[in-house]
Amino acid sequence: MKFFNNPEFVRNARIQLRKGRVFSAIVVCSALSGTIWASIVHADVDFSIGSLRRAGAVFAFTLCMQIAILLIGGGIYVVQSVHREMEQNTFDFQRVTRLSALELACGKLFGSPVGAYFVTLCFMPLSLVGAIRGHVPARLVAEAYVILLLGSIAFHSLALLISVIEGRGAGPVGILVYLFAVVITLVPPAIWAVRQVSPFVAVELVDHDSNVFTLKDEFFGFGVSHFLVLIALYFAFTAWFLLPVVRNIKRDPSLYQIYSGLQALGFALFMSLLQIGFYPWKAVFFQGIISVRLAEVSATVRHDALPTLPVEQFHLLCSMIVMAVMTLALLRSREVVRIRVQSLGKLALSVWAAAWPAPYVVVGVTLVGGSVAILISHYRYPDEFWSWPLVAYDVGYVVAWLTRDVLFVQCMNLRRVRRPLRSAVLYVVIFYGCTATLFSALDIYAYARNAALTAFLVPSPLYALSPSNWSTAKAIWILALVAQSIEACFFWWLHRQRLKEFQEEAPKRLIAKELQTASA
Amino acid sequence: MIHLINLTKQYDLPSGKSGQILAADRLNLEVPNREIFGLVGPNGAGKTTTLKMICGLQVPTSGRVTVNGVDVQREPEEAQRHLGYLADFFSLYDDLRVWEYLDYFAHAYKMESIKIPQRVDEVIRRMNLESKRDDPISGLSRGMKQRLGIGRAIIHDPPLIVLDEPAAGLDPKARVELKRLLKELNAEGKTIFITSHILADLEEICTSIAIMEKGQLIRIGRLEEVMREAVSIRRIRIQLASPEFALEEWLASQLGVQEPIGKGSEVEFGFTGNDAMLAELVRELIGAGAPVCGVEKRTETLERLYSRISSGEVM
Repeated sequence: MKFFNNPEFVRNARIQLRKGRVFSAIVVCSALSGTIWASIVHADVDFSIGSLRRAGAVFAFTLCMQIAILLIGGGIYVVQSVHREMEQNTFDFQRVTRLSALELACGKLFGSPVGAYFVTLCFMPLSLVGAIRGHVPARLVAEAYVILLLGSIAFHSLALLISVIEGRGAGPVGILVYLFAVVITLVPPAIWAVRQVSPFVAVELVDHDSNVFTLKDEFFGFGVSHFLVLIALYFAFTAWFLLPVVRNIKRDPSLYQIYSGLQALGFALFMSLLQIGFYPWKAVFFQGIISVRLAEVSATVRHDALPTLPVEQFHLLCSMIVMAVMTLALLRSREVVRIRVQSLGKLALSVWAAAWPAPYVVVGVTLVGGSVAILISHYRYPDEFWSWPLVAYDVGYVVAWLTRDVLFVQCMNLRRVRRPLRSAVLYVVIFYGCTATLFSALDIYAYARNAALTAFLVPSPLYALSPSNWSTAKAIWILALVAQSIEACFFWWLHRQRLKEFQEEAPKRLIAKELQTASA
Repeated sequence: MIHLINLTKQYDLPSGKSGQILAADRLNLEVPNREIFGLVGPNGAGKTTTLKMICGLQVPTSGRVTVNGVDVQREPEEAQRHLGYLADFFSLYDDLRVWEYLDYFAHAYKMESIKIPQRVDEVIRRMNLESKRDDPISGLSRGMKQRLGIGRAIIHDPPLIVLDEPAAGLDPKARVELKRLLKELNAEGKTIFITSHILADLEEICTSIAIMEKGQLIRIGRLEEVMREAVSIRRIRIQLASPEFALEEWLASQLGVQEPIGKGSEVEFGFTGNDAMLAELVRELIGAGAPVCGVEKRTETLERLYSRISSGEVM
């Protein structure tokens, strides 16, 4: 099906681009364009941005406005695209058409913000006049618009995913989540060697002195053009966000599962790749004199390499967050388990099934933890302490601890309550809140042996584990790891009991084999 | 056309209550081609859930649905080619025009582009919406919107049309039009699977029915067969000109008379005998001095049959 023939795109275009609306948009945009031009070009204020003056500032301002319109305005339309159809009872009719999930998703991705695209186009004359009169190089203008377009598509894909999974009655929550994502990407990540990833970065191009190819990021120690990084990230995230949309958009909403196991693991590993790839390994472990230039002043300062353990623990913490999000996307609902029990029979109660989704956590954390350890051992300052057994312990502990919590949440997610996941997460938060408060009040972390004992319950002492703490209380640390593993096994057993309840609750149901016989 | 094999759908009861609801309990059903098949049942019987599983909108907990031989779960897009669906509560895109709405769905069902304008006009004509062709949907009446909804369901000319409570909220005139339309579609060879609370309407148009309660099909068959099965005992009503004669007591002592229930000068009862025996009974009643002014064989309506089956009177 040709792109512009996509019925969902055409439907949105028909609604949003009626003659009256188009005319109004053109009139309003023309009036605004005139006002902006007059107020910037003829004002007495110095609007210089880098080496540009006035007309260049018009281009920069217009570009910023276009990004806001498309990213925020268009994004809000996309967030509402599926959600509103569900509320209006029209979504089922789209689901029963012969449109493939990809066609429907693309129709919504490009159709819902079609009005925002049009308004963005309406400001193009002002933008181009500003660029020409401000002598902004054509290549920069093209690059800015490539970032604007691809960045908006990536963010709109996220908006569409939010719209699909937020369900009925979520109200403005989806819009707030989307706006949070837009705002948070405006801040350049301080720890990583990558610049701002928001499409608003295109405005920086207006400065003659720095075009996108001179803006560099660092990936595994290699300098990479920020423009190319942005393009790659936008393509990758568009694909990662569209994948679950296509997977779920035509499904029964009670059976939504954002990713399959392997897809979720893939996404988590991709995020971890970005996490460790953009980490400034060379700079972190550099030891010696470096020259620093602040404004007009140059100075030389001594830089000390970071100790290896905090770096390793920081990456494990990041990996833990990524893997926790991954498991949330993988959790099985009661409805999914019920269907599995019916269709798979005893296979749905197997040891493997009761461990879901822990194997992905084990693989994910082990791979990321191992990669981080290899990178640290490669880049570390030779004099810094490094112990493979301690690193292996760290990774093993995070695996056991995350497995424990994941199995607890999965088990709780099968309870017969209105919002089982929400209450499960709440229990976890209360548990960690109470234990942290109690241990802090008792000043337990001050003593190495006591801190190791708390690792039986919570992982926080792991993040202060030093070589001396390790050697002082090695046996207790190892016992803590064993305890975490036993706790994980306990929740695995509870999960299995829950699964068995599903089979007991359906004594009359036919199992797969009987079904096959019946259909034969 | 439709084949349900051990179709089961289980839900949890609302939070705070333990246990599950079986909205569909191992349903087995075969609806032949060219039927108008009515699914009758009280609210919460599982009719809408069953319809949604037939259309592929809900996944069954177990079991299978095939439409025209195509498995709805395994080949959803192919199955959609064979069915058109109208929900009980639905909205249309108010900002679209009538022809645009049908054009959208014609494309979404992947009809040949060249045939779409002609088909859209044909359906608009069929639904008596010619005068509203270029009007926005927001301006249509409830009945017109219902017709447009049916138009959407048939735009791709499917052999099966699944309608959930299509007469709900329609005025009597619109209901008559709807029945006429469904009969016409059936005469053209369409199979229609319909649920309705208005049993009199179903009785008028359906060729087969199934009665559903608590997720189970308690009666299935051709309409006349289901009615005949239930009417193994004829219901007779006798009316007297004056209430002095103790008709109820007299009938209770007669052979073949069951459960006489009196109401003033009228008594209704079940009678197991044939017409000749009934004639003899009436002759004897008149001979006993009863001022008989009316004898009526009560015709079983679907509504009465349904209420008797639901109450357990007929098993």
